Amino acid sequence: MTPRVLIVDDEPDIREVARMSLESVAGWQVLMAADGRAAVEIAQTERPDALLLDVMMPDLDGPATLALIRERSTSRDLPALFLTAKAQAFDAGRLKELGAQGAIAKPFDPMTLHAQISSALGWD
Amino acid sequence: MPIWVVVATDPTQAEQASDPSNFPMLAAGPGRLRRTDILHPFVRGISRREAAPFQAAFVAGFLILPVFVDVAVGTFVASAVGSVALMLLIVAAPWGRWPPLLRIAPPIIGIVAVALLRDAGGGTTSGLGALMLLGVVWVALYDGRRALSITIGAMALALICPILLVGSPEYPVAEWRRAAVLVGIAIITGVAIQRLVRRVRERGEEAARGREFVLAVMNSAAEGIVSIDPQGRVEYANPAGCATLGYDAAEIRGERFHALVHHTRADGSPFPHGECPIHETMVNGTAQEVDADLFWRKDGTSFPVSYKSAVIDTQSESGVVVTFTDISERRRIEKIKDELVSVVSHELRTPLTSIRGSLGLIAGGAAGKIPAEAERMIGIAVTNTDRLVRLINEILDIERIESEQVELSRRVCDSEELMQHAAATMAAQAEAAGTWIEVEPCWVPLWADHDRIMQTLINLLSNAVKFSPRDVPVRLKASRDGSEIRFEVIDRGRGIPTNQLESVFERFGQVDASDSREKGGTGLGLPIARSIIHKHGGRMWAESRPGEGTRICFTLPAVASSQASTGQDTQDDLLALVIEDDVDLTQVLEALLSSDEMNVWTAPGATEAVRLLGIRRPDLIVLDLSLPDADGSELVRWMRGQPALVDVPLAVYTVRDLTDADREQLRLGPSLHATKSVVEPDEFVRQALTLVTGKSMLPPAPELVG
Repeated sequence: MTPRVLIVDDEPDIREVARMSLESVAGWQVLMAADGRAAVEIAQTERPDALLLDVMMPDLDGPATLALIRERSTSRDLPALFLTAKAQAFDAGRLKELGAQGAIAKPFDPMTLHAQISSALGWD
Repeated sequence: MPIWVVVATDPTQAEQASDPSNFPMLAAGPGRLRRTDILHPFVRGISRREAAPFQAAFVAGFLILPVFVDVAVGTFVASAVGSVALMLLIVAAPWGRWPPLLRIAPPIIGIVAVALLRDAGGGTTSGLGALMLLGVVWVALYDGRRALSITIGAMALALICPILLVGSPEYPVAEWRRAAVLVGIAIITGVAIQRLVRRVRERGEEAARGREFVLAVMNSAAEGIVSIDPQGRVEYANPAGCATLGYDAAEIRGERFHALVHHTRADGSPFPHGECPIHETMVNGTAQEVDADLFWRKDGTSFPVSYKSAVIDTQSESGVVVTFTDISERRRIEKIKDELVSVVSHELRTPLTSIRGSLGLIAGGAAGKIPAEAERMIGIAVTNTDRLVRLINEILDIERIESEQVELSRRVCDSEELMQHAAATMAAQAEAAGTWIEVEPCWVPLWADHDRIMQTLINLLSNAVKFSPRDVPVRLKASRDGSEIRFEVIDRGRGIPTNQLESVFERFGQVDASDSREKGGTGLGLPIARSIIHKHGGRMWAESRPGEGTRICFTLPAVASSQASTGQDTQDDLLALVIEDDVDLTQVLEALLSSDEMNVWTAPGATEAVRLLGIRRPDLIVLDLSLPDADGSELVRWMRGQPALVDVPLAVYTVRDLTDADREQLRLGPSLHATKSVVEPDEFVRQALTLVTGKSMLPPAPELVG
């Protein structure tokens, strides 16, 4: 089964690179949202397999978005990874507190992004 | 003649002004420092009260003097009137506005008056001549050399004139001799006194200049300076200190410093005087340095402050001097810098993410096949983007480490594990560079941030690998050195010139500017490494001989060997330490061991065990050999090296089959070794407890072993 990943980032360029990386390199399906509210919506309707979430976004930031997503029963257990320029700030304790399974540092290597996601979520 | 009476009282004031031991009194505020000229009683603006005794003495003296002289009533009245007039003149005259030389008029008038009285009393009967000396002494004390010459001249005239004018028989020839002797004595006395006065004055001026200079320095210092007496009261506060605290110099003087400005902590709780570092300095004489604390202003607001306290210890003074700086501004700048760093981190990395991602996809062929030439160009772009990313990361990293915002997450680490792990991480890179890493480990428990030490080791190894010649190993060595462990990373590369051994630790301080290009370094690796080690309380330095390679050394404090003293053995409760990684078995052992007399601590691994052993010496150690972070036998080996632990009863409970040689190694005090599958936990605990209760009665019993 091909994984379906929801990418949430306010930067269109980064969304595009991540989409290409996951679609072309790994052959995954990619859904995209430009802000937190759209992400909450898509997480409900499309029920992706994983969430790749930017931290610093205007209006609704990553942790706030994730909190909203966790509130809905349909997306309560959606595996989520932060995509962040400040990966050091996300140690295990903080990730647990925010309800995320891991964090991937920006800039990421597009050729191995899928592998990083898989290993962070324990997909083998 | 009573002016001379005043001579006796006045010098005390002059003395006070020039006495250097009165420093704090004089220093009590700007402008209090007085000129240290010998104060001339006629010139200085003496207050009414200060002038009163002066005037009284004057009147009395001039009225009484003639009484002692046996003269006719007419002469007495004339003398009295003259004396009162002279007194009025002295008291009322605006001496300050007249030429200084005029100040010698009263003494001269006094001398003339004495001469007249002497004449009136019959020249031959005169012992009064000696009184003239007092006028000379007065002038010598308070006026210059010229004034003294004139006065002595006047005295000579006053003596000679009657002799010349009246002649014998009233003034016999002997009177000439007497006059000459008197003038001679006047000259010697006057000159000697003047010399003495000049020397005292010079010395006073010198001291005053020094004092004035010190005061000027303190008054212009930008830091707050406060001196506190042994009772904790403020003796002196410089203007910067007063301004920072919002008090006037006069208001703060004499107040208890701690109660006034240091009474409450940042969290709002009261700050007991006994815990104050300044008090500590006062009591123990140890200088203190506090980087971040809170002082309170007069208006009830507080400000962040850094201060130092040191003992004042001179012959005449004792107490403490506190220098402090308001660090609000520094805090604000730090905050701005942190925000900038945070913004830069995001704003730079966002475009870099797109660039690096796009380049990576092209280079990886995700966008289709590209010409070889283009591929090479893209490769260059990828490499340099990575370098830029690394540079940003390391700048942020060093900022974070050097600012106080990153706390080390310390735990007990195993030096050997750190070394092996770092070497394994670097193995691939070493192999790519045609070299390998030789580890010469040393097992020492460290109280350190595991990830940061790993980062440091990897960083140093990465440098060594880069500079190592092919087919020569890079060595990673550790050795125990007293209370420290010393790590060394040794390569046989080109080395560091002696004059750059220190500058390689500066930011962008590579030996060769082309290194960052050729070797891919950022120039921040060593500064970051050194910052990490400094934060741990260690040191880092480089040793090298050009052409023979480099040795980067650093030290870390080892976990203090068990501080347990015999004093702690008298604690009522016994303590057992269970070192076992199986949670269920730990609970079982804990339940079996626990009793009214026995407390149980548990450690899931060697590092935690070492930490607990550092806190208190247990009365029994229960040990599993297969621990996740170290082998139990290594732990025993370490414990055998700890003087406080060598005689602790040890019960080893393991799945392994032990040989006799093994058992010999696994001993501390009375010891037993049991195999898990053979001896049930309850039986094992029963036997283990006999080690404690019957330490001396039961021999360590190999026959108990399953």
